[in-house]
Amino acid sequence: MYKLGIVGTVTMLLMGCTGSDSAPSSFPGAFVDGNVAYLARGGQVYKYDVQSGNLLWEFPKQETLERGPFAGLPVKFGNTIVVGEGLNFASTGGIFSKEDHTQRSLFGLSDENGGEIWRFTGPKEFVDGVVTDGKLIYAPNGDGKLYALDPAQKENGQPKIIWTFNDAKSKLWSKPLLAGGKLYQASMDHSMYAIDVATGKKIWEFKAKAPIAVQPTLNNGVLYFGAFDSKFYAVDAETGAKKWEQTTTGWVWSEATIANGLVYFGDVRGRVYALDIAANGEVRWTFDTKDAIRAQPIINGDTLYVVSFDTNVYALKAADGKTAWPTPATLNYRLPAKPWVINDTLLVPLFDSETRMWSLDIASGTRKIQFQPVKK
Amino acid sequence: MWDLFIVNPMTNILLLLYDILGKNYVLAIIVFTLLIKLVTLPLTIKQQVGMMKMSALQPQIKEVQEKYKNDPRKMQEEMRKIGYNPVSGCLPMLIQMPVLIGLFGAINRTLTVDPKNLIDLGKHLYTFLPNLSSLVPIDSTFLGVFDLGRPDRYLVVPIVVVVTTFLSNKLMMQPTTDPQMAQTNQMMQWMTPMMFGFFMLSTPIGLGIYWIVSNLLGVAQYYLTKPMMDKARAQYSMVTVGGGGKPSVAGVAPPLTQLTPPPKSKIRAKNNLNKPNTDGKNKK
Repeated sequence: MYKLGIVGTVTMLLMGCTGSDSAPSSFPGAFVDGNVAYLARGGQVYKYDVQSGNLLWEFPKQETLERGPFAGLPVKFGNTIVVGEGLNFASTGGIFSKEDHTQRSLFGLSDENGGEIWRFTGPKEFVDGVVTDGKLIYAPNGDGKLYALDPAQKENGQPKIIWTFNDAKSKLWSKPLLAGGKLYQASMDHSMYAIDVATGKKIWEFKAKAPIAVQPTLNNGVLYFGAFDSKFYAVDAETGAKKWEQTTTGWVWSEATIANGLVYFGDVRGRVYALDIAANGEVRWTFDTKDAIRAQPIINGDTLYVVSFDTNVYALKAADGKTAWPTPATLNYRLPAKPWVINDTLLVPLFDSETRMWSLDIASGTRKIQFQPVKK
Repeated sequence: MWDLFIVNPMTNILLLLYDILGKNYVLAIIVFTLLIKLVTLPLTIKQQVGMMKMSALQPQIKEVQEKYKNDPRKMQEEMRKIGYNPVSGCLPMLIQMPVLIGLFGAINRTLTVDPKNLIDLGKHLYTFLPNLSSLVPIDSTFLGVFDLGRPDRYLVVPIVVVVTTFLSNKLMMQPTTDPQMAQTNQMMQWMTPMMFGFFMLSTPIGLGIYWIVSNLLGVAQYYLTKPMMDKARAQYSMVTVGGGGKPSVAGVAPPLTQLTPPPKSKIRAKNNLNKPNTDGKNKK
């Protein structure tokens, strides 16, 4: 009978090692507007009162495997909140699945009560949210296309597609940057594209040696972004010409933050970098966390706040990278989304916990308010 | 440690093969499985020989069990004397388990289709192979219909897994004269394919392809190593029945005809097993 035991054990182990991570397949995102925060995470979208932690509404009312995971930064568009569904691996359901689960939707939700106002179903996933100029919504999709949508006009009951950018040869897994009449869109096909916002036509293309999955940061006519080729690039926003590059220890999947002549970002091996823009990206300092950094670091005064997959929030002195808190704030769950500063509070979205967000005291890192998925 | 020594090297080798073999993931899995089979070949042979030995010893084991059923200590002693080792057949299999589970982990990791798992892949690629980063995300489409990173909604892969596992098990199963063992073997022959088939319903197709290739290579390996196995079988039959081991007691083991009918090739082997073989050769 020992043979049966072995076969059973192997099967259980294999089943265990192929599907044990219960976290959503795509990263959450939070957006703060005054005293309210919108959070896209897992099967629901939430609107919270930042001061009290009260849940104001959630969409949909019940979490199901068929909906979500909602991912990326929610965006305010008039009186609607636009939020997309990321890649949903959990709900494939194997052979029991009848619908095409690669199709994911973009939702326009009522800011007042979270009700669905419109829906745009894309061929694939919306991993990192959208951007808007107040007239149109620019939505990158996992099918490699960037859609310019007008929710004011309808076509087959969905927001009308004004133009489609389809030069990219792989997935678009980051939101574009909208600036100076151009959209700067990264692609997993290794390119950064500059696109005419009026027509959707390509202006230039910059090629890295591996996928790019971040929104670039613009500063004085230069775009700053990293790629999976373990390089960080500075590229002229007008021409797409490379100004300089710096080598990192791992893939760069975190957007950059710029302040005081330094550009800050992290890599997937957990290292935080401060590069000197004036010195062609020379490394000013680095700081090592214990796991991947995917979220954009944020700066407040002289302090840089970094969240890591090692479950810690770090406060670093922006000038030299020395720790500003006696110890990092440990939240016990992976932290893949950009934090927000609201007055004396740091708001941190969590990935795979029952608690959706924590607010921390910005001076010490001590916990203040817990944001739960239920009304208080 | 598990990641460092098992899953990470496998992940990087798999991606390297994908790069070398024209970015064809199915081809990469086939070549990788072949490499794994080659590396674990000595263990597999050892396992088969061990199982063969235990099978050949069954009459004596039964005899000792009967004789010393009220004296466990003496029974253990006698068992040791006749060379009985209950783990000789499964120890090599246990050693192969980390390889198998690590491989599953590597295939799962490289076939990742979502951002959360991709970040995990990024952490584990070797920096001295920078080209590997340019390969992601892996093209997971197969024959234009299947997505290697997702379960097979058309049931083709689970069915092929069941069939190949059944055939492979049927071929590898050692003949036995012990009715209890024969019953277990028969149950195993059906249960293992069904369990793996069930497992494949919710598992990426890429893993199913590994399993199918592994089964087919196992069958090929069986025929390639058959002469060696036949020789070993003849040796054991000589030692246990006619060549110095204790003679088996008639009536302890049931006649072979009462057990599940094995393939014809195995009947020949069984007949040899019960015949004294005085010249040390396997008579056919």
